[in-house]
Amino acid sequence: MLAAGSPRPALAKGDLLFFDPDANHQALLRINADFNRFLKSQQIDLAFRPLTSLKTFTQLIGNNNARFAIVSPDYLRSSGGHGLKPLLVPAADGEAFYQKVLVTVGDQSSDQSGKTIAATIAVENSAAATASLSKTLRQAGVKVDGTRYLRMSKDVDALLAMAFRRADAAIVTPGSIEILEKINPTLAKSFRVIAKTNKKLRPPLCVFSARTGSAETKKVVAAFKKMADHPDGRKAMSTLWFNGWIPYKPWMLAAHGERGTP
Amino acid sequence: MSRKLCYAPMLAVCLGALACAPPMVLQRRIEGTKTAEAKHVIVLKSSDNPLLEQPLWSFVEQVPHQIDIFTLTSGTTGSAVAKALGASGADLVFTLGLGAATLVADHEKDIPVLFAMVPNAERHGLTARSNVMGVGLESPSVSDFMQFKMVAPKMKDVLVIYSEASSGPAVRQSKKDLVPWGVELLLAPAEDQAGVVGAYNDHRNQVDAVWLQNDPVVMNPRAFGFLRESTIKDRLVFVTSLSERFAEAGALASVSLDFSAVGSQAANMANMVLEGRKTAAEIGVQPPVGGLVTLNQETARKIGISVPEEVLPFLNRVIADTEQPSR
Repeated sequence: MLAAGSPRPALAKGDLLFFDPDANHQALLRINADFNRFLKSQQIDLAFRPLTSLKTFTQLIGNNNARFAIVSPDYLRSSGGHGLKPLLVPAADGEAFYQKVLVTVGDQSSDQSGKTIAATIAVENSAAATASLSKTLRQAGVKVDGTRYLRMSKDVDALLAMAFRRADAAIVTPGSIEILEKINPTLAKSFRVIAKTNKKLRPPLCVFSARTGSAETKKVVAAFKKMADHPDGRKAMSTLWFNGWIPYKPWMLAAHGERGTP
Repeated sequence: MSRKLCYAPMLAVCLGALACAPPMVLQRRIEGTKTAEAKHVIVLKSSDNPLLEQPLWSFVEQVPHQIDIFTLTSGTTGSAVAKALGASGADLVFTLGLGAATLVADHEKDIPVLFAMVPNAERHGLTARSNVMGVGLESPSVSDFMQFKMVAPKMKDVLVIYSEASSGPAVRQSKKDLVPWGVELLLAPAEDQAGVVGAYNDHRNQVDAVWLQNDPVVMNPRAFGFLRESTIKDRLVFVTSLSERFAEAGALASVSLDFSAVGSQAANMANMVLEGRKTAAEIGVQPPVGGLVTLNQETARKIGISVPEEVLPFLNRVIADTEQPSR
């Protein structure tokens, strides 16, 4: 588990920090090496450092080594940016936003008060992650007074927990339902989507502009735009559910992370 | 963690009026919410085994009440623990590991007892007590196969070599349970290594996969080594339950328990009882939910299967193919 952050390669001059409470932390463990191999292949002298603790992230951004960060839009909004300037946004088939769906197999009421929802929630900062999830569900019109969360390590487990009646509902990515549909179409057919969360911006790649030169910034942006062309880069992107980077536009963050169309 | 922790390392505390040989060592007190509904939970660990920490902290993070965490000391008697628990005013006891579970369940008849990390709970008499509930350690075969099918979706006819004495009833139940999921288990009893070799050779042409389940006849280095080499040679899918070490050692995929999810599951059960929504008897003993899937891509290449890229984000761990990286 990434308790405080993974060690940085000793020779790298700067850090590329990653902090997104919504990310699958098991996945982060897996992409650490891929990301660093990709950076090395592009002659970018940065160490990729995925972090699961807001406290550690906050400490590290004060360090001169921090040159770039891939960081949750919520953090960018709440912190006023901390000198971070968004450059690129991850996108899946061109879409910079993502959403989750709340599914059930039985009662299709959007009132989940007092019920149990299976969800992928990180072990660290789970209280904050749970509060954030409740807020997201309320925004989607779901009642969650006294709702309990069954914490799973991946979305497929959340679906199975619901299918085996250990939870009343599951909040998952639509892609996980598609995977389960291939394994067991009958089971997947019994799922009913009862709510969709608002669309949320994927975590942008930002630069600490006060301490990073424009030449280095341009080099990193150019490399990230071609990340899908490199096997390690493509693998890391795929694990984090996107397949490209698109230019950041101010409206993306200004819409408080949730949007219809620009 | 936002809740306040009170440390009392190595401080031996008698919960009752026991003059000597304290039955349990208080390790930490975690303050709960200060409301009229606040409850008191005692956690009793069988030992300092690090395996117990993951479910413990997952539980602690989700139960918003005062929690006192103890570890059993050697030579503790059940009556001493029961006396101590009685004096503590605890509303629920959460035990981790077999020793603590049986000691408390055998002597505590009033307070709801919740257990986790206990193998074969039924064999230890933990499934038939009205104040006892728990999360079993045995993952249902259906759950394991749902995960296996992510990496080998075409798997249908699966050989299971097993010892009748150790796993007969369990594998027959699995065979029945898996039929609706499109998996046909071919059961081949064996009592020793020669039996394992014979069973494999007799049936390898009738199956497309081999499943290593928790059985002493196959879950040992010799049998595992034989099955790993043979399945690669015959290009059969080799999937294993219980531990990711099997995938690390060359099985195609393994599903192991997610101990953090076990803690979360236990926390939900505890909260239901503490909130008065259900009784321990109504909840009973539940199988664990969630599993950690590990895929060995080198083995996948050797047996000629390709796991779709879109599946990779759903796996917990992928062991890369170091010989032929995808570049």
